[in-house]
Parts: sequence; C-alpha cells; structure tokens
Amino acid sequence: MSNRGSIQYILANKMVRDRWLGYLGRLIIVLAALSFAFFPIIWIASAAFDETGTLNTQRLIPRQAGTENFDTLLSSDIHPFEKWIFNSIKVASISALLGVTISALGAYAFSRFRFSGRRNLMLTIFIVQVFPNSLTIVATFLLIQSIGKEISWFGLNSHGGLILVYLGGALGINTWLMKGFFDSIPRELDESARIDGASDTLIFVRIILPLVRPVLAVVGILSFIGTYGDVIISLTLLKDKDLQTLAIGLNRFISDQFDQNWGVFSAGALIGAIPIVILILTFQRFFVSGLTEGAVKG
Amino acid sequence: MAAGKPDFSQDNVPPARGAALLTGALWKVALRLVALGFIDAFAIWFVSGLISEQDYILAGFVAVITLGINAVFLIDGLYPYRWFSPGLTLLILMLIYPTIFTIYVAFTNYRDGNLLTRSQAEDVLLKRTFLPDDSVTYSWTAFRSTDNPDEYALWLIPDSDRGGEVMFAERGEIVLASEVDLGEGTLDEDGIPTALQGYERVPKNQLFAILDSVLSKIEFGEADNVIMLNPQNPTRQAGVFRVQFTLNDDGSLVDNQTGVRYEAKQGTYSPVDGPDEMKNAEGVLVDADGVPLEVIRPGYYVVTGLDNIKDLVTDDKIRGPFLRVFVWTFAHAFFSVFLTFWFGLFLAIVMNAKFFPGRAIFRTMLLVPYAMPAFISVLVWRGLLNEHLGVINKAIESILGVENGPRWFSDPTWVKVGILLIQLWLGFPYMMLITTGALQSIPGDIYEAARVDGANPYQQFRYLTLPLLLVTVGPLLIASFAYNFNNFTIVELFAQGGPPISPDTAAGHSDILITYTYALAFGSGRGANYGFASTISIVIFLIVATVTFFNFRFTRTWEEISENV
Repeated sequence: MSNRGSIQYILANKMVRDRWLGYLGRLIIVLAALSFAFFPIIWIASAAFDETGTLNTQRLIPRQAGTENFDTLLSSDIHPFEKWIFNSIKVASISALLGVTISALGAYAFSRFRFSGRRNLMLTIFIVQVFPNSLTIVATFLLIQSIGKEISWFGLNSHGGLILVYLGGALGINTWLMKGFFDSIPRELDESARIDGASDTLIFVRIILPLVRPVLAVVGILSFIGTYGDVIISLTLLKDKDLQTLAIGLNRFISDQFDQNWGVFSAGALIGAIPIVILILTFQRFFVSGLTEGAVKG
Repeated sequence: MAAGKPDFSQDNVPPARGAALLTGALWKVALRLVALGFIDAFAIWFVSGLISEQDYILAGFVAVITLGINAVFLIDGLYPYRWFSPGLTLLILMLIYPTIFTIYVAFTNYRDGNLLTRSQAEDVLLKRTFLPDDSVTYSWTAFRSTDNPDEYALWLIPDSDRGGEVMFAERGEIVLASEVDLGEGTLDEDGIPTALQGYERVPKNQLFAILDSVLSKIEFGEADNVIMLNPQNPTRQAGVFRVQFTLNDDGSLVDNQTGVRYEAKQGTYSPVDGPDEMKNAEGVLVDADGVPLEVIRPGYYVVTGLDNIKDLVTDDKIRGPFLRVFVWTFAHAFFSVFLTFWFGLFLAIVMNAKFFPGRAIFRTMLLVPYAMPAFISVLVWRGLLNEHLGVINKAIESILGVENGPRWFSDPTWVKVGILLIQLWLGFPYMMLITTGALQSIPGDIYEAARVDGANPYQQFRYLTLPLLLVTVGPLLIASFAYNFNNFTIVELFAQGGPPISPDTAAGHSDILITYTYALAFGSGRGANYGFASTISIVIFLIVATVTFFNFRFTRTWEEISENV
C-alpha cells in the first residue's frame, strides 16, 4: 500500500497504467496550449531584460541581460511613461469610484422604494446599456468639443471630459447587479432604523453600504479594469502626450519606431499588464459569473 | 419622517402627492434651495454659452435636464428620483443625447468644410478681404507697442506710381504721418521715424519670426479702410484691402474681386454666374489658367436628408469598400467566436478528466492571456508578427527556408489571419472557463444511459454534450459575437484597419465597421466626414439591436428581467 505512487506499482497495474498514460496524453495537449499561451509573454519578458533593446537583435535568452530598458523607460522625457500609468490609474479610479457611487444610489432606490415609473426606468436602463458608447463615438466627440468651448476642464484633451464619458454608462448594468445584492439585505433592518427616526440617507450610509461592501468592491474593480483597457474613447478625446493614458501612449510610442523601441516598450508592457493580470486572476470568478449572469439574475 | 413626504418604502405605491412642495425641516429646505440655485445659475450660464455657439440641440437637453433636477428636488412626490439624479443626468447627457445627435448628424453634411452654421459661415466669409489690383500700395516698417508687446503698427510709405501719402496705421486707426507725434525722434534718410511715441521699431532680425504668424494676420486701419501685408509680397508691400464678398438678399455671395456669384447648394457655395470673359467654351467658369473655379470654403452644415444613405447604396466608390468592411465585420466576429469556442471547449474537455493532477494550476495559468489588458496583447503580437524583424517570420524563414514569411500587415488576407490569431490567443481562456462550468453542470447519469443504449463517444458528444452545452453557453456566445462585432481595440491597434483598399476610400482591408467609422471621422489625411461616419454608426446600431433582440428572445432574458423588476 505504501508504494502506490511508485513507478513499479504503476507499471504493474494495468488500470493504473492506463490512467497515467491517458493523463500523459492530456498533459501533452495542455502543455502545448500553455506554450501557445505563454510564448508571447515569455518573449516580451525576455525582451524587457534584453539590453540590446531592439526587435531585430532580441533572442529568447538575452545575450546581455539587465534592467537598462526599465531605466530608460522611467527616465526618458520623450515618452512620459510614468505619466501615462498615472493618468490611466487616475482616470480609472475616479471613474470607478464615482460610478460605484452613482450605481449604489440607484440600486438603493430601486431596491427600497416603490414609485410610479420605477419599472419603466429599470427597463430603460437595461436597454440603454446594451449599446456600448463606442457606437456614438462621433457624437460623443462633438459633444465633448461643445462642452469644452464653455468649460475647458471637461472638453477635448482633458481627463474631466474622458471621465464624464465613462460615467455616462455608470447607471447601467452595475445598478442591476447591485440591486440584486441590496434586495438580499433584510428590510427589517431599515424598518427598525426608520422607527428609531433614521432618514433614508442615514439608513443608506450607515446600514446598507457597510453590508454591501463586497459588491461595491467587485463592481469598482470591474469598472477599473474596463476603463484601464479602453482605447476608442481615450484615443478620440486625448491628443496631448502628457495627458494620454497608457493604452494610447504605449501605442503611439511603439508605432513610431517599432524596432528601436521594442525593448523599452516590452518593459512598459510588463509593468502595465502585471497588476491587471493579478487583479483578474484573483477575482476571476466574478469575471465569469458576475458579469454575464448578474445581468439576468438581478 | 417628514410630514409631507409620502412613504415610498411601502410595497403599495402611494398616491403621488405632486402638489406637496418643499416640506421638511427649515434648514434642510434652505440648503436644498441654495444648492438648486447654484445648479440653476450654472445651467443658465452654460445654456446661454451653448446658444451663442448655436448648439441648440445640446442647449435644449441641458435645459430639460436642469428642469428635471429642479422638479425632482422641489416636488415631494418625485422624491425617489433624487437618488437617480446624478446617474440619470449623466445617462441622458452622455448616452441618450449622443444617440439622438448621431441620428441627426447622419442626415446632415456635417464634415470638414461644412462644420459651421450658415450664419457662422457667412460671418467668416464676409470678413475676408483682398488686395485689388488698383490698390494703393506701401512699403512698410513695423513698430511694436511699448505698452503691449502683442500690438503692432505700420509706418507706411507709398510706392511711387499710384500716389497716396505717408501714413501711420495702428489697429483700428490710421493717421497721416504729419499728425504723428514723433517726440524726440526725427525721420531718417528713408523717411522712417527714429522714435515714435509709445512704440519702438521692430529690429530686422526679429521681423522674420513674426512675419507669417503675427504681422500678416493683423488687419491694420479701419473697417472700410483695411491695410494688410500683401500676401504675394509680404516682406516688402502692404496695401489697402477691400471686402472680398458681398451678401445678396437671396443668400448668394458675390466675389468683388472677380465678379463671380456663388450660390449655396446643400451648404456649399458653388460658382454659378460670372463675367463672360471668365467662361470657357463650355460656359464653365474658369480662372486665368483655365482651371474651373472651386467652391468657397467654409460652407455650412444643413440637413441633407438621405444623401449619406444614398451615397452608401449607389456610389460604387463607397459601396464597394463598405460591403467588404461589412462582410469582414461579420466574418471577424463569427470566426473569433468559432475558433475560441472550439479551442476552449477542446481544452475544457481534455482537462475535465476524472484523473488530472495539477488541474487547478493549469487552468489558472491558461487564463493569463485573457487577463492581460487587450491593448497590450495586441501591441506585443504586432511585434511578434513584424514582417521583417518579428520572431515568427524569422522562425518561418529559417525553419521552412523560405525567403519571405507571411506579410501580416501588408497582405489583405494575412492581416485577417493575424487578427484572428490574436483573437484566438486572447479569447480561448474565456471559452475554456465557461465551457468547463457548463460541462460540469451536465449530470453524469445521462451518459451512462447513453452507453447502455450503445452510443459511442462521438455520438455522446454530438447528441448529448454539445446540445446541452449550447443551451447554457449559447447566449454567452452570442454576447461574445456582439462584443467582437465592435472590437475596436484589436483591429485598430493591430493594423489601423490597413492595408488600404484603394486611394478612393478611408476603408482598409482589415477594417470592421467601428474602425471604419473612426477612420471616416478622425482618420488623418482625408478630412473628417462626421455625417457619413454617423450613418455607418447607425448601421452598427441596428445590427447590434437585432442580435441583442434575438439573444433576449432566445434566452427569455426579457421575461426574467421583467420578473425581477
């Protein structure tokens, strides 16, 4: 019994042998898939540490390994990489924070109030969010241009304008997701607080919000990742190099001089990707179930 | 609870007590009124600004939103809507308004050259001036104001042959040289003052820097006596300019220089009539070199009705590329879903075996491509697929011994293969994840029953696994299709829609509808055509609506949603 895992035992027992042979076959397929999945990632990781720094001279095992690309990335004035990362994080966090606030207010009202027009409002919000705001990108551009003529903080080439566009959809699917969660919190809690004289605002802030913190966090993270990865809106609205987000800046940077900038770009790509990869792998179950089912399960 | 406010927390909807205004503690009401006052003041300022820019539709939306906010915060019966006011404001302003404006723009000729309203275009054109052939010309010397370094003035000495007097022209005023206070200065041998009250002469070495950007743009002198540098000879000559266009009562413009009359058709001023000597044998108006006269820019935007759609359907130069883009948009979305689904399902089945040590870690690792931000993945793949220096083509060249690997960016077919390869790479983990979940939810005993009935593994897969799988995964596949239908990030960042189809069109071989829209509106070099871009947006809109509608029908989403309300 003690030697069940040993080679001799496996070879001696036909059933066990077949099982391990089957596993071997499957393992080869999975390893092939893994090499397909990881080849580009290993390749840029190697490029990032390859001090020759160009597409042409890069080898899988760097002939000259070091952190020069990272030094160049963070010190050069030609490509303000730190600003791009900062801009991306700033825009995505503010949008996520305000978006969560807006959704939470809406979800609370949907969950706790009964009023005329409630049903139509919920259905409208559901329909509107079906259409991504990239479809109206031309009109959105013209709108932000018009706003900018009056208030430059929210005009073209401003983070204010960009955040405004991202917030347009805040009262969308997330409100549905949150409403379901709010519904699961017993009404008796609010009722007793109400009897003690608490107002809606107080109930919302003191009782409900602390209880729904997990869903707020999930919605916030989902929104952050979505905004971080946006290309079409930021590409349309931001022209100034110092104001651009990582997606736009990196694209411009690598498109200028593909061969020459490869090493430095790879360093930037790694830094830009790693936090998001960790976030998603940590919260993967919300990405699959949360996003797709939340809409329906309400 | 405040006295007048209905209790909205009860399940039965209370009768709307719309008439109850502003109940509650005094300080709360006061605070609310002050806040509303600020919002209203801001809105009035904003709306009046928009109206002066002639942005009437937007001004209307902002006004309606503001009225709504006021109503909601003043009328107690609308209390629950207070909670939606920030979200609804943004939803209406940033989603609903752009949707309506897209539809409006699609029916206009809004594009470069037609971006102004009629009155704005007239204002621009009526300010244009020209230097008549018989104008008095001067040689000039520039002076800069000592008070304001952005203000300049010209000392003008008439060129000999056409008379005129020595003058000093500031912005808005011309005085004869004899009336100018020279202070301590005198005239030098060229007749130019050595000093002028309030001005200093611009040194020659600084003139060049300001000639084009500053001096050439200043209109010196008075409204009906404009003196400007002669654009044909700016360094030496200035002259008295005349107004170029006169506006007739019927809205047409007459060019005072040539005598040609321009009529506005669909927002564009085209030459319709002029002196006989400007007409060629066919009666077409031409310039001195025999080239037909062009339209005047800027024109203005007008509602042109179905013109954009008509162009799309009838104009071969537009329809041909559009159809290519249209077909590829569907093919791209379909194959993206198809390839990722089958590969993902294959891996899910492989890893779904009862005995699979290390399954959890492998699954997590296979998720990494999906977890990478897509924009970074595409840019990385662009490097790997680089036609000359990328590792993939180098490998192909050295292993297969061929001279040139696939042209991933310049060949119309390979660029599509490249995009689908990237789609496969970043999409299969998602499909693996959802099919794994679906596989696990299929009860095992039905397979046993199938085995008893003698079904072989293929039959079990074909007639049991796949149909059951598609029931749960089907809606997600359709959603994925709709998502990839508008996957701007991958297509745009990979090859900007290129390679180009022909010089006649903004569309490229790998363009999908959304990137084509982007190229029409914001692509460089061709001039923005917002009207036509909006027309394409509406096409996308209709397709997304149809796909979503069928998905909802298929999944009974609507019923579920309605029940959950």
